[in-house]
Amino acid sequence: MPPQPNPNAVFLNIPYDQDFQSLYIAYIVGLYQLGLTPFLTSGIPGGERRLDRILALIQSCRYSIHDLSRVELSATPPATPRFNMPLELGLTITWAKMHPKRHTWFLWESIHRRIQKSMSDLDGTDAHIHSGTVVGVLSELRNAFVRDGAPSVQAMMVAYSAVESSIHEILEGAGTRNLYAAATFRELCLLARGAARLTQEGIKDGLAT
Amino acid sequence: MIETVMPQSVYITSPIEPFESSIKHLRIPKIRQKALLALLDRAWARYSILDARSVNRTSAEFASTGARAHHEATEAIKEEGRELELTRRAETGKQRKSASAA
Repeated sequence: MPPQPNPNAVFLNIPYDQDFQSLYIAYIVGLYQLGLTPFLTSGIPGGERRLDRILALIQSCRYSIHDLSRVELSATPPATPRFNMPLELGLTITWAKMHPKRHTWFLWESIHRRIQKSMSDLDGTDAHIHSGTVVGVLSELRNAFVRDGAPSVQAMMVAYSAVESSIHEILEGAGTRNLYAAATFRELCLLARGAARLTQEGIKDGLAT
Repeated sequence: MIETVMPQSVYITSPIEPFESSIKHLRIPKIRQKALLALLDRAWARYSILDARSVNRTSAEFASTGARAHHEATEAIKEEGRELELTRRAETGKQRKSASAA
């Protein structure tokens, strides 16, 4: 049996593509704003043990978010649907069914009721709908993870803007354009955590609430 | 009777990890940490939150000015957020069009 999960850890199962970047930043910033810590599979090396490591990561997190808003075929030929995210969702559902007190998973989508079509076996599970917007992600995070003293969406938007405006320099420093690379993700987390601290200081002072 | 099903939500009571320990697992060199946090501070200041805070702390006379400055900064941020969204949507639309054309 794996050790108890980190009560603030959230496994983020999202598409790693250009179109998704602003929502990716929004998830990271929003989770830190709510006192939670995001984890991605991007840091996990490839190879035959990759799936084992992904499962271990899911097991180490108390929560997971599965964003199935990108169901389109890939733009680059051959046009292919993404199966990694549903696969990781399947692993998570199995783990949570076996140990419901150790894991809670959430479904995210951009369009109402599309999940009933794309994954009808999940009928009865309502997805959080972010409408493909940053505000939608932040607002739904607040709805999913309720915490006393949580900042308002407006305050979270300030943090998002501050982090988002620093991205260019992170990428330049890392010599990459890949925002999902493990090193870039870690730096993004540092900024998001720093922004959460600034937001909390603002709340203490009666501002940014 | 209208039946509605709401997406799941959880009430989080676990304490928030202190800043220093929460960034330890990121394994970022101290010098780089310092540079990135300085960058964030500058970005934060651009959004006038710190300015509004210092103005609010001065005197009652300045309180209204501070509140107004804060409101204006917030409106500017909201506007910028809307612009970011519009730009992102426009870019997404373009990419989808070019992808479907291909």
